[in-house]
Amino acid sequence: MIHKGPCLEVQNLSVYYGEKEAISDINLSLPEGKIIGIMGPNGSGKTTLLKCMTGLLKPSSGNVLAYGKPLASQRPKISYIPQKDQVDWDFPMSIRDLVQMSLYRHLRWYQPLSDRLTRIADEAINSMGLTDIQDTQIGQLSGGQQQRAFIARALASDANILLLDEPFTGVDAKTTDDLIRIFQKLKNQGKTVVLVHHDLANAKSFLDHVILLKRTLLKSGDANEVLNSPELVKAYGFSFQPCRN
Amino acid sequence: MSFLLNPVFLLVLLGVALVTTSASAIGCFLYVQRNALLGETLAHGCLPGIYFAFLIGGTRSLLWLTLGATLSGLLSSLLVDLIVTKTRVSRDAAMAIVLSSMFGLGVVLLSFIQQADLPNQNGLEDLFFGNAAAMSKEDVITIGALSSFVWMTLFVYFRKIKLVLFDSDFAQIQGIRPTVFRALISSLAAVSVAIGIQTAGAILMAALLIAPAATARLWTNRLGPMILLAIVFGLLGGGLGTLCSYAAPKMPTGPWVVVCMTGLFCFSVLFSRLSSWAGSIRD
Repeated sequence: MIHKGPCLEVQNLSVYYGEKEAISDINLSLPEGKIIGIMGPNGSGKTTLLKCMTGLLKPSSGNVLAYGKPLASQRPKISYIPQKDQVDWDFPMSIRDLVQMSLYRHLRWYQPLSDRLTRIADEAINSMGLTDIQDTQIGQLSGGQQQRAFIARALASDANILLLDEPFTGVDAKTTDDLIRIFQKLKNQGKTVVLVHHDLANAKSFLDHVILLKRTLLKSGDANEVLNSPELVKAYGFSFQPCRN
Repeated sequence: MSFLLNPVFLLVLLGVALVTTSASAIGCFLYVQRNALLGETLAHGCLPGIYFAFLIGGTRSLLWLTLGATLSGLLSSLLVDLIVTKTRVSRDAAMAIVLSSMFGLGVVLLSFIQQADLPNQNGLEDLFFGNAAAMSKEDVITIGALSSFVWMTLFVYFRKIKLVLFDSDFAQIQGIRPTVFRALISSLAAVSVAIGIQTAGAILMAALLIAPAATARLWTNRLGPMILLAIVFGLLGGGLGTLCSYAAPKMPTGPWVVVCMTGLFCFSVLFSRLSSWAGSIRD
């Protein structure tokens, strides 16, 4: 069921690392059931904003609400997929182990996974096309399979909001297309996908909503509108036109 | 081979088995945390605590000395964290500084004890390389109780620890506090090291933590089986090492245990290489 109203609200958010301002005075309302891109040049505060939205980073001032309530109370509805270089790919863990991790909160220490929870894990793995390789150690997966494994983990946790940090880094064009198709499928299921994104060339093709940052909020709204706005020049220092053959 | 039925040998074998089971299990978590050198830091860091405990209590009770060893080991771990967070010194350099300083402090304290000619001090110098043969029934009971405590704690918190060590951000979003569980791992490692000092000594104790874990990792790609395998390899190495030390005259148990564990590691490396080579020929 689609929630009426924004799924995430950011109110007067500022983050300082010591004396250094990372982001300041951000106010946002994110619509539910959309693919939302957080964009901006390097150092503009994209990952900082994303981490505040997950509750991983406590802002210096301001707050974040999920479905109109404090973030801490809505934890089960939010899932975070880290940047590729933040993951220890050598960790002894299969895809199945990774997905089952999201179900631990339903279990006491002595309880094995129930049939119901096993089915949930199976469905999540299957929806990402990973059933045949579910016992593969995560370091032996391709870039696209690794991302899909983490998305399967998010699906198994029944999160409504998926927050991804640079999901297309280190993956090829075909995998990028596959991931975009997955995000669109999730959107059609009513999920909200928020991702830090760098590629201006393909942003308009799949993003519904764009948040443009340069340590402060430059513009937030419909992707076409934001990516054709004068604020894009303020952000990147140039206007962007995709190459035409 | 008549020693196989000797009660002293059997007692030492039991004590070594209990030490290696908890050390192997906790060693797996240090391994996946990429914190294998913490074992070395804790082992060297234990020494001043043991000698301080002896100076304060005047007793060689294993429980009392283990308490001192654990606190001292934890202090070493905290000092490393402090140096890393407050200075520009890297973690490996901080560990090198702390473990060598604490070891040096331990040697100084031992010298003081020996020169003061205090009662009950015989055998304290054995803690550098261990002296498993000196284990008493009370020592084995203490080791068993503390080893069981480490075991039970790891079993109860296995899922949360695994979550924290693999993805602390995800764990935090799920409402788990990563710093609490990282501190728990360090504390359990300190206890495992402290109870093992008499077996392998401060210099070799780290091997009991990491060798079984590294060996197990060569055989499996999953954490649960890795821990079980590490315990098997720990028991095998501990048993073989104890056997070897008793089969030959006047041989130290701790170093033999380490040699056997290293042998198992080398065998596993060779086996995995041969398997890959055979696999590539087949393909």
